[in-house]
Amino acid sequence: MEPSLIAQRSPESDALPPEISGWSRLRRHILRDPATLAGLVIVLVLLAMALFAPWIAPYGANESTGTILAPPSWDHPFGTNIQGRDLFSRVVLGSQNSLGVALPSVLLAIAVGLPIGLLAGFLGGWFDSLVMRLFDIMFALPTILFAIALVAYLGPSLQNLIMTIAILYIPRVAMVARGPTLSLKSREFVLAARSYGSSTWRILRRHLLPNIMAPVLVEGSLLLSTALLTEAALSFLGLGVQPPNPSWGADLGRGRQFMELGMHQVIFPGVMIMVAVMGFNLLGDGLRDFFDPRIRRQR
Amino acid sequence: MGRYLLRRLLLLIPVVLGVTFLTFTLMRLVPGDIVTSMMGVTAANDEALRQQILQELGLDRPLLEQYAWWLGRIVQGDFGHSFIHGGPVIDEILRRLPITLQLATMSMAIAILIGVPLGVLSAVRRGGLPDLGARVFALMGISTPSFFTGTLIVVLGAIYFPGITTLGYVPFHEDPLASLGRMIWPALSLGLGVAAIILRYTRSSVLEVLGEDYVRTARAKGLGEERVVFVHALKSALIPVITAIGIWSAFLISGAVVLEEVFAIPGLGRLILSAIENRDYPIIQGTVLFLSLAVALVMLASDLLVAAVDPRVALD
Repeated sequence: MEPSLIAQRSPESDALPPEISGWSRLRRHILRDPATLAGLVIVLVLLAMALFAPWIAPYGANESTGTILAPPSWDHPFGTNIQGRDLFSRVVLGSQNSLGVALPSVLLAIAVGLPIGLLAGFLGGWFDSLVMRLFDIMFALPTILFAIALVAYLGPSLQNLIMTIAILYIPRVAMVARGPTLSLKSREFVLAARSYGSSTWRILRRHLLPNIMAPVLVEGSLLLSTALLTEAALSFLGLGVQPPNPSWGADLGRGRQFMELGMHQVIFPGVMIMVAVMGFNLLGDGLRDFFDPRIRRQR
Repeated sequence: MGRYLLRRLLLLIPVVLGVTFLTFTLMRLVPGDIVTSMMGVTAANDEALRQQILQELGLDRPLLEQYAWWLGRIVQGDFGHSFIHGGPVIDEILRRLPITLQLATMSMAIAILIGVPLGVLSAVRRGGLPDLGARVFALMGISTPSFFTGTLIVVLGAIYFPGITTLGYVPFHEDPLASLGRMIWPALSLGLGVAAIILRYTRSSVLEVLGEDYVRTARAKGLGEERVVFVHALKSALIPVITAIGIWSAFLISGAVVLEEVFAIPGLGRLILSAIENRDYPIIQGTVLFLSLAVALVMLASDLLVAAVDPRVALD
């Protein structure tokens, strides 16, 4: 969209549905809201950290520095752990594992959950009932128990961790996709498409999918924050990323055992989890405000 | 009301059946070997002995048959015996259930006591300093994993306040004060996160209600702001909060599993963690059954509570 158009309708532009003005409106929304901007910055910094981790980290994840349990200093900004490994390097390299689990698992959950929700909402009938009953069961099971059991079954590797978290989130993505589909499928534009002979596949792809992408995107970025938390919790319990691989949750869990010997062992990995989760939360909330003007008005 | 309750209780049956069947299948597929954890490696390598043990435990039969057999016993109130120490599963669960329930109840109480007032304050003073503070608290609470808060409390307590944050558990009936005093720390770690969530629900719900016509009417007829908020608005604003509390109880149970590990509390969470490690199937099955029932019942209770306070909700 041309900048001049934005300027012209500036006062009313908030009332326009987002698909009309698209990316530039989203950019303006993010730049205007400090919380969303902070979230975006945190997420980008984290991604850069994970991408360039080997160049940022002064030591290898399992390289011994010769001093054990050194407090934070210039040489070791986050100190060293009980094995004499540099915690700053481990935290930086750990971002690869934490994001490397969270991102693919949420993408996988969307890849599977979105079509399920779309079909369940559109087709209704026995398929919808079956899917809903199955989700009822999955929602009734405390998530961490489910994750613990699944990881125990699959064995604690990165791929299995990704799969476990993805399975946990499939119902949540599917529910988010199903809701709008239910109300959209009886709207005029869908009926019109059907009346002139569009196939089910075409209606789903061309008419419904674009309309449910926004809520799914919002749910996705909020799920990323919970995926980070779940990975951290599982690794904390010793069921996620396995030592000696660096992971924020695992390092926090290990530091806890020697915590009297230096709080830096738990503070830095813990704060990293916190900041990362906060970043995705802020970004997700910002996106939701953008796509759902009803909520935005309340702010 | 009676009919509705009956129907909801009947609807629990397929959910609980599904949950138990799911865990049943899942746990049987888990690699790892019950014979090894029971008798040690030597016995596990003795093929004849191994078959005999599996036969005694009924583990040599087809999965569906095992499940049907387990279910048949449950209906008669028999939860079986632990594979590891031989004690009745139901005794073990009933001994630990009150501990986890105490942790969950105290966490929820803390979450409500912090979340609801802060949420109301934040909505009423929207845009002001209290609102900013409450929203920062909510963001921190949602982003901080409870096991990090818990670890920090344990670490700081051990270093700076020795004796206050003691680990472990004291039964409530033995020494109520000591019991509450110890449980308050894990409950706080868990409750702060849920408080943040409840705060957000309360805030947006109160904001929504404050924009309704009847609130404007109440203001227009000259009622004081306090009366408008506390008598007129809060009554209906808190209804969605009750539903949220029900839903997040399930989250609380998940959190309790991790927190029990941090604070060395001998509840159901640690029971199930060690049972999964040892492949102690009867314990896992029984615990999952109790925990999922607890979650389902809390959700049912919150629905009933909503129906009781909200005249717009009809139960039928």
